[in-house]
Amino acid sequence: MKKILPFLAFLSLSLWSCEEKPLNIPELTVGTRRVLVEELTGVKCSNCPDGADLLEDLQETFGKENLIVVSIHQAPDFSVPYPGANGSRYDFRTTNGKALADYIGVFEGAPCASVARFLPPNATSLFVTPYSEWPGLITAEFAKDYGLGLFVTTEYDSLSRNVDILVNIAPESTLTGSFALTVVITQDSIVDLQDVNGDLERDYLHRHVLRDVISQPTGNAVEAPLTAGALISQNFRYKLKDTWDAKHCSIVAYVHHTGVPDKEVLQATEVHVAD
Amino acid sequence: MNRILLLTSFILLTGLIQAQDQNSPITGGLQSNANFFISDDKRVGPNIPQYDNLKFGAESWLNLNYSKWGFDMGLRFDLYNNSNLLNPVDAYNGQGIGRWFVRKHVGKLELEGGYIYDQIGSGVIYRAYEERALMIDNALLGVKVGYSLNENWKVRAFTGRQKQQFDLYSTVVRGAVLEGFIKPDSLKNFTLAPGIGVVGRTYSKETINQIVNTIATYAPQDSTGGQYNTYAGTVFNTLTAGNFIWYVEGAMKSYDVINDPNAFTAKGTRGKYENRKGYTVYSSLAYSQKGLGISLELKRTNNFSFRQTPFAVGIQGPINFLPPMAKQNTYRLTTRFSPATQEISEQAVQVDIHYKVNKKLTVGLNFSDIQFPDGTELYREITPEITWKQKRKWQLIAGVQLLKYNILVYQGPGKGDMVDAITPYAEYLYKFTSRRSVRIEAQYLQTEQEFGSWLNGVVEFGLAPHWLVAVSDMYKLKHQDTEEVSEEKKQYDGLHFPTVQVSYTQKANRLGLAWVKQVEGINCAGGICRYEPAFSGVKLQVNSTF
Repeated sequence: MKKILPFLAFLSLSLWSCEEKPLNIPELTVGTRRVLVEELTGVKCSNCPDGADLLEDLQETFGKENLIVVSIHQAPDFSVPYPGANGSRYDFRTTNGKALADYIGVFEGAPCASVARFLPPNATSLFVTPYSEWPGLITAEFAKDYGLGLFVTTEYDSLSRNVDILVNIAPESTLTGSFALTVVITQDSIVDLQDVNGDLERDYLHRHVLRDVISQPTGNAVEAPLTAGALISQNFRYKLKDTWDAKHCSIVAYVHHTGVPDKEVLQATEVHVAD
Repeated sequence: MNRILLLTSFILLTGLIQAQDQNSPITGGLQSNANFFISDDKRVGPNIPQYDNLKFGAESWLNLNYSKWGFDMGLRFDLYNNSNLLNPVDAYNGQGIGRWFVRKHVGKLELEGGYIYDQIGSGVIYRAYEERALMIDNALLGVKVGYSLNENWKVRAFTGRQKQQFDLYSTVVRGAVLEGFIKPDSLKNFTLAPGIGVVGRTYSKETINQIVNTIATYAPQDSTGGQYNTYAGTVFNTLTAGNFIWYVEGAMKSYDVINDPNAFTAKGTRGKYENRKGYTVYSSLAYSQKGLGISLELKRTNNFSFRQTPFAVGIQGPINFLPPMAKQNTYRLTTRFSPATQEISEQAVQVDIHYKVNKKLTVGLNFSDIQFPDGTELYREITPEITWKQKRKWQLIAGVQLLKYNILVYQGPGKGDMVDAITPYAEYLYKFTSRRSVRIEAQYLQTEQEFGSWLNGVVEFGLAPHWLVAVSDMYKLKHQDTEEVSEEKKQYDGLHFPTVQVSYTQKANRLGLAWVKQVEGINCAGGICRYEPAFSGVKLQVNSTF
């Protein structure tokens, strides 16, 4: 028993002498960096609305102009529209959307989303699940600043339904590596069927739906070096489909690494097609 | 490179020793699985790379153990080629040294370094173990020191970092345990085996930053604290008195940031992190005498998730192990709805009774009930069973499983709330000779929920000691009123899921070949569960020990 007592004392000490300095929870700050979230979702994904709700909350917290969301309807199995007369009105899947999703990463469960295409420690896909991990990743991304200006102007002709897009990349500091520019078109506030936690909701409001990828799904190469003070421009023209409401369409552009060593999105911006 | 050098050194060293001393051979084992994936649009979902393009996946583990001069040494080579074990819908590749260790006894001292498997009590505060079917391998890369205080009391302490495939988690884990054995001279058939243990876990700065960044986005009402260190302590004892064995364990955990997927934020979003203390209590009481065996288990858990990071879910990064509280079923349809242990909150009871009426007849009853502490039913199983043995010629097992299964909690939204199922089953074993036998089993799962009702049958021929040939089929009965039933529910209607398998055993070597069509479902081992997609293809398995 004499030998056991010191051990019991050690155990007690281990348990109770453990006070540590309280953690400091910082105030949220948003700089010039805007953060892109690419959500992988589907109309039959019953958990995905939980993730969408969280993203909406976070947009309120950080500002919609700072946290940019693109909802890619390519979650395997879950993105197939409901068939029949009472089924889905729209099919949100697109060939380019699939190519974009395939380029970003592997689907490992839903809800899932890529936060600036940053791979968290111990994660095996850029599409991160569980969704409770997203707020921390987004906050961490806002703390980064690559000193990269990204400006988009659009000119929309309602007769031809063409939108002319000018993207200007203006580095404030020199960045080395290989970069690409991806430009996509999204449509907000589309009412259609959605499985919400097991219940089929007919008038679900679909947000930030990816309609098409205007650039290459892997991004158009930015050939010119990103040196401080340079201005690199790329022009695009895209014809909106007749069924799309131009007022709810947006152009989202983002500059990212090309995969070596990563695909991280350095800067993003979103502008409406028409006011 | 270091790992290759280590492996090479080990092989050269042991080879040299082996050449010099045939009395200290290397022992070990090999387990290899090769899966050939065959596309099947009706049974297997899309976008699984093994079916789309890869067509082949494999896993292999080669163990080598050697003992010499008081040292025990071990090395394990792991290989995953386009494996679907880590993520059933993705391909995982990796190979290298999965484990190595060196152990030495120096008098009363026991020293061990390397990848260490260990457990405190029943594992509720710490369990480092391997479960290959679920790809759980949370060995601790570190050191362990044990000391025998006397013949009956031992103490050990350990520290290290837990492995994650071929990498390590950044969290540091340490722990200590004191275990004893007491046998009073004055009492016959009475022993005690008490123990006390503690585990501490220290998060890395990166993990803390991730937690802080998450909490920072919360509304003030949801904001919660956090800390680098969390401690868990446990006290346990096994009392043996005559025909009774009583195990009891109580554990507490200090404040820990855990993910509660069902908690709502102030803004109404489901799922948030909270800094909570936790506890768990587990007890089992067993009584046995000739012809009668009774066991009673009780468990209550409150906020006892203990992981490498609060962002780890499912089978990722467990530090502890909470014992399951449901019958360990073996038939295909009685295992279809298996409950995963709930880490946030759960209260459970299980009773198992077996009574041998006479030489031929044994009757049994299992009852298990799992709830949330607020009384929400999660799982209830009642299984009466009889076993009839007709000398050594044949044996019949028959029973019925009455089941309630909260599919919303266990598998998430989309498949309804509660499954009510009744599954009668029977197994008949007939021995033609001492070496030749046939085993037939059949189950019928009747339910209106999930995909509906199923039938399953197996016929297995045994030609001991070498051959085993089995043919089985799981059949999805069609829904009666297809107009009322959703496409998801009737997606497997009228489909067969047949399997043909052959295995050959030669001493300690076994070769198995199977052509398999397997429906999607939940795969559980010891209360740890995960979703398994359907399988279509050929499985080749090789097991060998030497």
